[in-house]
Amino acid sequence: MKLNKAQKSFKDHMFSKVSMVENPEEEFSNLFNIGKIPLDARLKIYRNHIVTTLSNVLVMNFPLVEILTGTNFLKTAAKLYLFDNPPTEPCLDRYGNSFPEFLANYKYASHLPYLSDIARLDWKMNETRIAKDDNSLQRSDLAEIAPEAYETIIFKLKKSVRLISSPFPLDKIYSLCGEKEDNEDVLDISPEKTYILITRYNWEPQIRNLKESEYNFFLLLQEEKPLGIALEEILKNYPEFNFVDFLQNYIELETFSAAITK
Amino acid sequence: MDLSKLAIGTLIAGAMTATIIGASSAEAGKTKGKEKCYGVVKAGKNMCGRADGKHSCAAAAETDGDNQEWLYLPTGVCDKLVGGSLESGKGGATAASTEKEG
Repeated sequence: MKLNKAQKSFKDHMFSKVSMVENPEEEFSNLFNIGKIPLDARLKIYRNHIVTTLSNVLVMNFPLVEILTGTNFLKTAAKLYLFDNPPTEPCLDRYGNSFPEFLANYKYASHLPYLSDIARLDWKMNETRIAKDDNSLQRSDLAEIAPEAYETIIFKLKKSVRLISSPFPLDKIYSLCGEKEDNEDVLDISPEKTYILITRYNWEPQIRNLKESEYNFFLLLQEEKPLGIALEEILKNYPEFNFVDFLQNYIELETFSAAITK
Repeated sequence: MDLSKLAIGTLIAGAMTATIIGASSAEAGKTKGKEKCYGVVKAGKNMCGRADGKHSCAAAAETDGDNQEWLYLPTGVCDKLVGGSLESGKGGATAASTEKEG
């Protein structure tokens, strides 16, 4: 058996039902069935390590979900998830991309309609945390741009910046999760459209509520629309949008990495 | 709303100018460094989490002048503000009103 086929077969055995580990395929068994310890017992040790490690990784990557549901609930969901979603790259910081979608359809979480969006927030904050660092656009950098090129400026968002919207008050749920003392207040989680910007400050993700117009303008900038076109589009839908405040606030918050002109 | 090219261009030019002019004072502050200043921030205008950990969000301050909420200010400015403190739990709206009365 070639190495890549043996590796694939090993992965298939690890991410299948335990019955496959107890009765491995013949070709696979012939290759690995050596030594005194029975092959199925050795495979179960590997399988157990993989399941434990990956479920621990999901607990680490989804801390808000853990706070809301408890570690046992999350680990049980994680174990069901990981068999159909093995890692696709050798970086566990980036494992769990589709876990929020899994939670949206997880029958034992059907009474927590906001849980999938909280998991998306977790995931985006995780992306913010591990994103590569890049330069911050400063106000003085804008002085280098010729006025006739202003409308063609493409504001590049920093690699650590993320945006998220939800029909639930994610900001309030996030704050509740951050409270160190038990809070007996009842949080109203009835649908309340929320728009959030996630930035990194001193290497920690920070969330900030946005107006709907600001959120949609950020989306246009994220699509690398030239400033003139993006602004025209946003003002059509949100005549009250204040571009002066937007520019000053988000440059001060070091949200952009560059202003490119054509 | 029908926005002409000219109107968009004027709006952008105005915003860019206002932002660039703001650079001189803002970046002069940066060269001197920044420090956390507690007790002077308006509700909803704090930069990050509360000092006592009750929330960890920017813009989540619920009251003006809370001495657990902070924002970055150029070094040396905080001490000049009524209610401003470089330490959490000190200063704030209560201290400011006491100072006024005193």
